[in-house]
Amino acid sequence: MIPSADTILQLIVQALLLGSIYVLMAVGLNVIYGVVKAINWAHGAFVMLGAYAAYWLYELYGISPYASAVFSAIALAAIGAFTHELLMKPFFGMRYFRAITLVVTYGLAILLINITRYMWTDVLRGVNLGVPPATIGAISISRPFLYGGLVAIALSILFYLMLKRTQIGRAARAVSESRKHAMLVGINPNVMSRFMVISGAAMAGVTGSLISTIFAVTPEMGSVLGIKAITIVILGGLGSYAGALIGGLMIGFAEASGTYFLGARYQPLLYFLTLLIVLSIKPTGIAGEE
Amino acid sequence: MSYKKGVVKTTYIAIIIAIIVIAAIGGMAYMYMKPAPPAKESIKVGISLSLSGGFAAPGQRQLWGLTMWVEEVNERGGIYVAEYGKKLKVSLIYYDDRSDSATATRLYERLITEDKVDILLGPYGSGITLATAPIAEKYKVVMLSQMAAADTIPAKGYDYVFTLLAVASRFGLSRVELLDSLSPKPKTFALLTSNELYPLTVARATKTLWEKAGYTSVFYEEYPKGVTDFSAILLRAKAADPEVFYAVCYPADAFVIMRQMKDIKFAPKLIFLDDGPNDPKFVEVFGKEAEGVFTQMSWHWELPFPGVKEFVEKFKARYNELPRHWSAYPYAAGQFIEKAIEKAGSLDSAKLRAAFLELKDVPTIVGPVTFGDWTNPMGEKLKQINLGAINFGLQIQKGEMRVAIPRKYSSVDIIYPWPGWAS
Amino acid sequence: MPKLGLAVGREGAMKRSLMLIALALTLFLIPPIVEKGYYINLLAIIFMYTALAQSWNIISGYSGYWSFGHYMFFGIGAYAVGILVTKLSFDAYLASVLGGLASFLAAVFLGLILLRIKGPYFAISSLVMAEILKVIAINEEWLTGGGNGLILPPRYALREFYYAILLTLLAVTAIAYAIKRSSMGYALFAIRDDETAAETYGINSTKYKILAFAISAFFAGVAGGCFAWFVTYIDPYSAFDSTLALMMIVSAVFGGIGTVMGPIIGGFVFTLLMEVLWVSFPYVYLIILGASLILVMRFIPDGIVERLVQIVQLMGKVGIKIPARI
Repeated sequence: MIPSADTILQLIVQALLLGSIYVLMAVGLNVIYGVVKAINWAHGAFVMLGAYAAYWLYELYGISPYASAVFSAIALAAIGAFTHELLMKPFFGMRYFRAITLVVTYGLAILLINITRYMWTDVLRGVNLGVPPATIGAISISRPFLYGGLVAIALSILFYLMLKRTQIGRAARAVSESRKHAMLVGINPNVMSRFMVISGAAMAGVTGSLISTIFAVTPEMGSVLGIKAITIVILGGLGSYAGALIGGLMIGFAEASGTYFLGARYQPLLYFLTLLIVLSIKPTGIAGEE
Repeated sequence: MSYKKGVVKTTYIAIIIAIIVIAAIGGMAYMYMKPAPPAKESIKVGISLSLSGGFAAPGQRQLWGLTMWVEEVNERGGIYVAEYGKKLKVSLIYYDDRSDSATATRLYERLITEDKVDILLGPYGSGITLATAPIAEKYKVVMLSQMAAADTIPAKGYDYVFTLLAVASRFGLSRVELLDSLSPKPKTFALLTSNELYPLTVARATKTLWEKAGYTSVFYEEYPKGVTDFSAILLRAKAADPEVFYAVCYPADAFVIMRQMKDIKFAPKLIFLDDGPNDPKFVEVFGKEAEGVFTQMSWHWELPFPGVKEFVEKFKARYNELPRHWSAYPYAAGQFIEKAIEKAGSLDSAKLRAAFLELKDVPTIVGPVTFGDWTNPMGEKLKQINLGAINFGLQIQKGEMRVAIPRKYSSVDIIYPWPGWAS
Repeated sequence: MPKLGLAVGREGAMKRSLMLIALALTLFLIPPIVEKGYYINLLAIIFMYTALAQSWNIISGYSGYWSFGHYMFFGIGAYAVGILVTKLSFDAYLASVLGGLASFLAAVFLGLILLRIKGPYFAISSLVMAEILKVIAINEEWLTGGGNGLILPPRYALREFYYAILLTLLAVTAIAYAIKRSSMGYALFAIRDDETAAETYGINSTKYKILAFAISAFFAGVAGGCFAWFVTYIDPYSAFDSTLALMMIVSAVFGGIGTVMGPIIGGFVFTLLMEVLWVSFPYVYLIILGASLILVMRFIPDGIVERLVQIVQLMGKVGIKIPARI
C-alpha cells in the first residue's frame, strides 16, 4: 500500500509527538544517571504515580492535568528524595553499585505498583478532556498528544540549558566526572545527587500528568513505558542528553513506520533491531562515552 | 583465603544442609502424622482465582459471584446429599494464582491432593485453564470451567472438564447476526485483534463467519501485547475505508484505540470493541462519545432468566456496581453444581460427571444449561460445552449498555449508522 | 593458571561441602516416592528457579556480565521442545536435551554479538534480544503457533518433571563448581574484576565469556524444555517471560553472586518466601515482596551466604564452639 503525502505527514507528526514523550522520560532517567550513575527501574512506576495524581485532582477537583502537573512534580519530588536517601546513598562506592541500585529500584517499582493496586484497584481510569483534535491542512493532531509533546520538548530543553549554562549544571557535571574532585572544589556531591534524583522524579511526575490524558490510567501503565525509556537511554548512551533526544525520536519513528509498513505484529521488532544494530556498531550507544 | 576460613565455611555449609534435611524430614513426618480426616461435614468447592496480576479485576469479581452463591446455599442449609442422608454446607476453598499458569497448576494440585475438594471450578482465562484442565482430568475430579472461552479446551476432549461459558466460535455467530440485522447492510469490515489465544480465537472465528456470510474483509491486523500507540495501525485501517470496525482487544487498549480513532477522525459506520466499553469506567470517561459503540458480554443484567433480578439487586447493594458475566457465570456454575449434586446424591466424581451429562435445561441466571457435544463452524468437535450459552452483542445507548444481539433478547432498536464524533 | 598454596586447605573444604550438597540434594530423591501433589509441585518449581539462578550465576555471577535477558534461553528450550514434540513427535526427554543444545548454539551465536557490549548496555541488549525472540515466536505461526501457542500432548507427569528438574539442578551445580575451580573460573573472575587487565595477561576473554554464556544457556534451555512438557501449553508470553530473569537475578543476589552456594540458598529461600507470603497474604504479598527486596539489598547487599559466614565467625570469636567436621 503506497500511502498518500497526507498520510506520511500524519505519520511523521505522530512519530514526533510520541517520540517527544519518550524523550522526556529518557531525559528524566538521564538526569539521575548523569550524576548518581544509577538506572532507576522505578521510573515507569513514578510516571504511573504522576498519572494517578493528575487523575484524582481532575476527578475530585476538576483541575486540568496541565495545571496539576505542578502537584504531580512536587509529590514525586518527595518520593525522589526518599529514594535517594534510603535506596541509593547507602550503596555509594560499592562494587556492584549499578546492579544493586537496579535491583533495589526494581523492588521499589513492585512496591509502588502494588500499593497503588491495593488502594485504587485495577479499575481502568482516564482523563478525557473531550477536546477535538487540532486540524492543520489535511492532517489532524490529537490535542492531548500535541500539548504533551510540546511540554515534553520545552521541559527537556529547559533542563538541558540548566545543565549547560547555570552554576548548578556545572556543579552537576563536576560531580558526574569525579565525586572526589568535586569535593575538592567545594561542591557537596551528596547535595548534588539528591538534587538530581529529585529532579528526575519530578520530571516523571510531569510525564505522568501529560500521559494521563493519552493512555488509560492503571497501576501497570508505566511498566512498558519505563522499559521503553530505559531502552532509549541505552540506545542514546547513558547520561547523554543529545543521545536521549535522538534515541527517543528514533524509537518514535521506528514504531510508527514499522507499524504502518510492516504491520503491527512486527512493531516491536524494528525498534529492538535498531537498538541492537546501534550497539553492535557502537557498544556505548549513539552519544555515550566509554 | 586462609585454611581456617575454609574449615569455617564447611561448618556453616554443613549447618545449612542439616537444617534443610531436618526441615525436609520434619515436614514429611508432619504430613504423615496429620490426623485422619473427620467425617464429611461440608462440600468442598475448590478454585484458583486471579486476585493479583493482569486478571485481578475480573478475578476479584469472580470471587464476588461465588461468595454470593455460597452464602445463599448455606442460608438454605446447604445441599442435600442422599449418600449422607443430610444437607451439607458448602465451603469454598480458593487461592490466588497471580494470573500465572504455572502457579495455577500448583494450586489445583494442592486443591485436589491437600484440600481434597469434591468439585473444581475453572480459573480465569483460556491460557490458565488450558494448563490446569489436564490436572483435573488426571485425578478424575470434575472441573466446571466458567471463565475460559477458547475452543481449544473443549476440543481436547477431556472427560472431566465442562465448559459453561460461551466458546469463542459462538461469539462469531452473534457477530454475524449483528451485521445481518443492520439496514442498509454493510459490505466491508476491518478487524484488529490482540495476538493472544482468546482474542485470536474470537477474531478468527468472526472473520471466517463474516466472510462466509458475504462480508468483505478490507483490513485484518494482529498486534502483540505491549503496543502503546495505535495511531499508525488505525491510519491504515482508515485508509482501507471499512464500514464496520471490530477490535478484539483488552480494556486498556480499547481506551487508547477509542481516543486515537477520534484523533485521526476515523469514523466507520459501526464500532465494535470487544472489551473496554463493557468496563464501568468507559462510559464515564468517554461520555457522549461512547454513544452507539458496540461491545460484548456473555451475560447481561437485563436478561429475562429466573433469578437475574434478585441477583442483580443483591449484588448492587453489596458491591456497589452492576454485576458482569465475571460474577454471573461463577454464580450460575454454583446453581448448576447444586442441582448436579442433588441429582447424583453423592460427591463421587464419576457419579457427579454422569449427573452433569444427564441434566437438561437447568435454570440458572445465565439461562438454561445443558451440557453436550457440538461441532463449531471450523469443523472442530467440542466436548461437553454448555449448549445454551450465548454471547451478547451490546450497544451503548444513552450511557447504558443495552442488549442488541440476539434480537430476541433485545428490547431496543439498534442505532445504525454510528453518529460519528461529536463537533 | 598458577594455583596458590593457600587455596589447598580451602579446596579440601570445598570438596567436602560439595559432597554435602550432593548428599542433601540426593535426599530430595525421596519425597516423590512417599508424597504426591502440591508439595512435590512446589519443590519442583523451587528446583527450577534455583537451577535457573545457578545457570545465570555461571555467566553473570562469574564474569560480571549481568544478563537481563537470560529468560530467552528458557524460551528457546521451551519452544524447541514444543516444536520437536508437536511437529516431529520426539520423545520429551530427548527433546529437552536438544532444547538445551539449541540454547547452547543460540548463545554461541548471540554471544558473538552481545558479549562485545559491556555493563548496563549488555544488560539491556540481552533483554532486547529476548524480546526480539518473543516477537519471532509471535509471528512465525507456521513454526511456533503464533499467539495461539503450542499445545503439547497431555501427559501431566509431575513426578517425571520433579526428577528431570532435580537432575538439571544437580548438573548445573556440579558444572558451576567445576568451572569455578578450573582455570576457566579464574579467567572469568579476572574478566569480572578488570577485563582489559585480564586481556593484557593473555586471557582470551571472548572465548571464556562465550563458553560461559553457552554453558549457562544450555541449562536454562533444559529447564525451559522440561517446563514445556510439564505445563503442556506454551505461548510467547509465558515462554519468554521477563519476570523469570528477575527471579534468577534476585535469587542469585539474595544468596550471594559468584558463589556456588549463593544461588542455591537464594533460590530456595526466595522461592519459598514468595510462596509463603503469597499463601498467607493473598492481597498484599507483592507489596511485601517489593519491600523485602529493598530491605534485603539495603542490609545484606553481599547476599545471605556472606552474612552467614560472618555470623559463624562471630560466634567463634565469642566462644561458641562449632565442630569443624560433621
